Amino acid sequence: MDDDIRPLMVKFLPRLRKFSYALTGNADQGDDLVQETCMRALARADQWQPGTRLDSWMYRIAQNLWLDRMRATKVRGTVIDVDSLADLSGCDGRQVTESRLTLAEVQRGISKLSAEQQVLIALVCVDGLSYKEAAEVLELPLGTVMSRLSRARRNLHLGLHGDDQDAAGNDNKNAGRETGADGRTRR
Amino acid sequence: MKEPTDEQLMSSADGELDAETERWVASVVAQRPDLAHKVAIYRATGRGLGDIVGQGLADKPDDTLERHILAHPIARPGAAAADRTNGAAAPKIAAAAEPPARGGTVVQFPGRASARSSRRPATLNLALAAGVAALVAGALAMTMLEWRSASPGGTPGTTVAGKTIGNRETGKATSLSVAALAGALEIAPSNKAMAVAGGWTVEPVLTFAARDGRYCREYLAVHASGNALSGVACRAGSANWQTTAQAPVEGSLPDAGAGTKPADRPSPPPAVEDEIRRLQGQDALDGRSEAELMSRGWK
Repeated sequence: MDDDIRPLMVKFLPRLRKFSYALTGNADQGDDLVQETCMRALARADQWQPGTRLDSWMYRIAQNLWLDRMRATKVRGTVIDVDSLADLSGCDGRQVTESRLTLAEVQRGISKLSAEQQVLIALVCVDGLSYKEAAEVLELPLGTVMSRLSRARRNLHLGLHGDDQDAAGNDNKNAGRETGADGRTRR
Repeated sequence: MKEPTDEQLMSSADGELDAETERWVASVVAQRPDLAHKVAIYRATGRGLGDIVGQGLADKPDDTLERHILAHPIARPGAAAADRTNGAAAPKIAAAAEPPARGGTVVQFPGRASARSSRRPATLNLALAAGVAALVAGALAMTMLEWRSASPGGTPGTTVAGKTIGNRETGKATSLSVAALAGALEIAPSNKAMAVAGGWTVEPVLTFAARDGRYCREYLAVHASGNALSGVACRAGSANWQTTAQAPVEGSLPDAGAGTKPADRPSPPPAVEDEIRRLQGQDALDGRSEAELMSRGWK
């Protein structure tokens, strides 16, 4: 039956698993997020419209669960935010292209991002959604998604390659900016 | 001289630019090592991350969740929107902004993976559940699909508020003995239909701990005549199950005589679902926990 959500959910599970694993960086926690997402989706199956994208609907559920969890646990440390790649002038572009990131590096880098940036990275860079598709999931304008994604990837790069020297330089450039109560540097 | 924005450089790295803009960005980047550096960073943090993250996942993950999803009773997709009477178009995505469902789900999921000490599949392990339940059943010599109350009065003490439960709406003579229901709820694993007295088949759907500490079970009872009841009962002492909500199940049902398959099981009526939501204090037990609970005599 075409409007039976269950086989569609099963087909979507591998993508949801990878998405959740990218967010949590931990297999068990990723499984929990997958399971919670499926439970909520099944409980609200009557709200999904056959013919619309199940992945978008379920990603939104997963995203909200993740944001709720992160807000509840407040495990984030200080998130360094960069304004431009110009802040990363200490990096060698050739090294960037030639070095292939490892799983551990990616997990470490993503773990340093804000929850919202993690979701963006997971949607576009891990799952491979287009900007437009990610904008639909997040219900944000395309331009907003692009600017936030650009920032998220700069932060990810900084988290991966930003050594003390880079971080120091970044801090200096951010010296005049407002710093929020959560320790995040804001524009 | 105008130069590409960071967003355009990222789009170039991701292949999301239109052909004309891509040519322009490429021509500028070719003469600007600093911009080439930025594009390289965007490429390194681009869609290749999916393959890297995928390395951390098992090639063949445990399929317990898949089986639970396929077996879960669901409401008809789109029903919520169809039920609206204001004629407004249904939002494409309706669920995500709502608060978490607490106990509204009627499914046995494997339990929190992060809390499990074992990665072993926890549910639908009917062999284990049946084995433990059989130990509890003892002299009942249960053969899982064929168990009958020893007498019309049922097992001593197995009463549900002293009543006989039937489908009052249809007025048919068939009624579900409270003793038979209690007997099945006491020993049958979830998702396993048990034939009981009076031509009824009782199938526990899930087990959960209520907020007040009692253990409760959702069940589906199907009569050979086609009558079906959905309900939730809580254990109130030794082999004593009190039904707190029950309602006839509408719509087509699987062949009652053969028992039900989880995939065919209808959604519980709203009254039963509301009652479960009201009662439920913790997530439904997985099959292993349920079997262990039974083996301890529901203690």
